[in-house]
Amino acid sequence: MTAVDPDREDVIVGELLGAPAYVSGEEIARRLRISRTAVWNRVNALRRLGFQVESHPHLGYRLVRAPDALLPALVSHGLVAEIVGRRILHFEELRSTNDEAERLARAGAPEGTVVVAERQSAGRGRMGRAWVSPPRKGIYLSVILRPAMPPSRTAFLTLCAAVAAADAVRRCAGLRASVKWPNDVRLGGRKVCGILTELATEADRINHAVVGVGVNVNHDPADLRGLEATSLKIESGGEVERVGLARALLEELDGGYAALCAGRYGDIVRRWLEVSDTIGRRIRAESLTGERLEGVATGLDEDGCLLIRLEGGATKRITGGDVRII
Amino acid sequence: MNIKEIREIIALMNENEVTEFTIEREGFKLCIRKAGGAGAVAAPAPAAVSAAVPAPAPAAAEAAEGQYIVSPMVGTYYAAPAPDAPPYVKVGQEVDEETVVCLIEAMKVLNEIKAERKGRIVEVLAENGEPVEFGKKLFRIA
Repeated sequence: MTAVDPDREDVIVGELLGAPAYVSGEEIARRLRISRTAVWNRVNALRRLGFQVESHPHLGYRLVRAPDALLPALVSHGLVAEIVGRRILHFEELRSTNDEAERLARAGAPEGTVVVAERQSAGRGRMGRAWVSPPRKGIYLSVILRPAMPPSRTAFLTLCAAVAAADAVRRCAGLRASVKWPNDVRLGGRKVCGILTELATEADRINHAVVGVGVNVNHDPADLRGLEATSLKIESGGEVERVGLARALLEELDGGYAALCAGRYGDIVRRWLEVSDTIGRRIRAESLTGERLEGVATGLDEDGCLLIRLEGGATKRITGGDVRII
Repeated sequence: MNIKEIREIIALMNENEVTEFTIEREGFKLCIRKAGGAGAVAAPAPAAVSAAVPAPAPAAAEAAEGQYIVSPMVGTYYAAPAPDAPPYVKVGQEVDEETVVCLIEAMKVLNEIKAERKGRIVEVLAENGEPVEFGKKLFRIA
C-alpha cells in the first residue's frame, strides 16, 4: 500500500469528528476532492492508528472511538489559537520533544510549531535532570516561538507558560493547580507539570525559544515513585482525557504568548500572582551551586524576579536556582 | 621575524591603507591592527609579537569589545549543562560561531550562549554559578 498523507488523514478525522452521525463516503470524497477509494484507504489507515470507525454500506462512516493518542487531527480539532499549534507534529517516541523542536527551529520551522510525543526516552528537565515520560500517560510537548523581544525579557515567557499550564489543568481536570515561582505547577505541594524553556539568542535578539511542557496526566503512583510529584489521575481519582487537556494547554499558551507579544507584562504578572502559592510564604532559595537564602517571598519585581525579605529585613532578588516553600 | 621586517610591514600597511595584518606560523602569531586608529592587539600565541602602529586617534573601544563574549541578560552563569558534566569550553579551545560556550539561566529559562565568532578561548571571566549582569564579560577570545 502506498504511503498515506497524514494531513489527509487528519482532514478525514476532522470530517468524522464534526459529524453527529454517519457521513457518507461520497460526501467526504466530494468535500476533500479525492476519490471514494482514497477515502476508504484513509479510513483504513486511521483504523491502523487505533481509530474505531464503523462503516455502513448505505450510510457511510461513523467515528465510534478515537484512540488515546495526541494526534494532530484530534488536538487541533476545535483548537482556538492564533499562533501556538498552527502546525502540530506527532511522534510515537522521541528522546526529548525539546531536542526535536530545537532541531526543527534551527532548520527554520515556523513559530507556533508544536512537537508532541507519546513517550520520551530521554525526557529532561533543567541541568540534566530527567523527566519521567511513560507512554501515553502524560503530555510531552514543545512549542517553537520566535518572540521579538530582547533576551532580558524572556523571564516572562516562563511565567506565561506556568500560568497557561495551571489554567489548562484547572479547566480540564477541575483541580486547583498552583504555581511555585517561577514555573512549577503543583497540586497539594507536589509537582504535576514542569516547564523547560530554552533560548537560542544572537547578540541581543532571540532567534527562537523552545518552551517544553511536561504534564503528569494519567501516571500511577508507581510511575512517580521516589519523586516529589503527582499526577492528575492520582489527585482526581480518575483518568483525564489527554487530547482535551493538550488542546486547552495550547490555547492557554497562545493566550499568554499574545499578551507577551503585546508587551502586557503587567497582565502576565497579575495572572501569575493569581495562581501562585509562593508569595507570602517562607521560602528557601538555593542556587544550583549550593548558595542558600531564606526569607519570606514578598512579590515580583519588574523583571519577574522573586523578591524575598531576609531575616534582617533586607530584600534580595532571586533570579534562578531552586526555591522551596518551607 | 625581526623588528626591521615588522617596520616594513607597518610601512606597507600605511602606504596601502591596510588596517589589519595577521601572520601565523608554528608557535608564532603576529597581528597588527589599526581599527579606527586602535593600537595593535596582542596575540596570545606563545611567541607573540606585538607592534604598535602610530595611531592618529584615541584607541577605539570597539576593537577591544570585539574580543569578549558578553552576557546578553541578567542571570546565573553556568559553565556546564549539568552539575557533573564537563564545561562547554576550556581555555585554549578553538570555537566557531556555533559553539556553545556557556549557559545563562534567568528564571529557569536556559539560554545557550554561542561564541558567535571564530577564535580561541583565552580567558574565562566568570565563575560557575555566579550571578551576571547584562553585558558582563564572560570570555576573552582571540
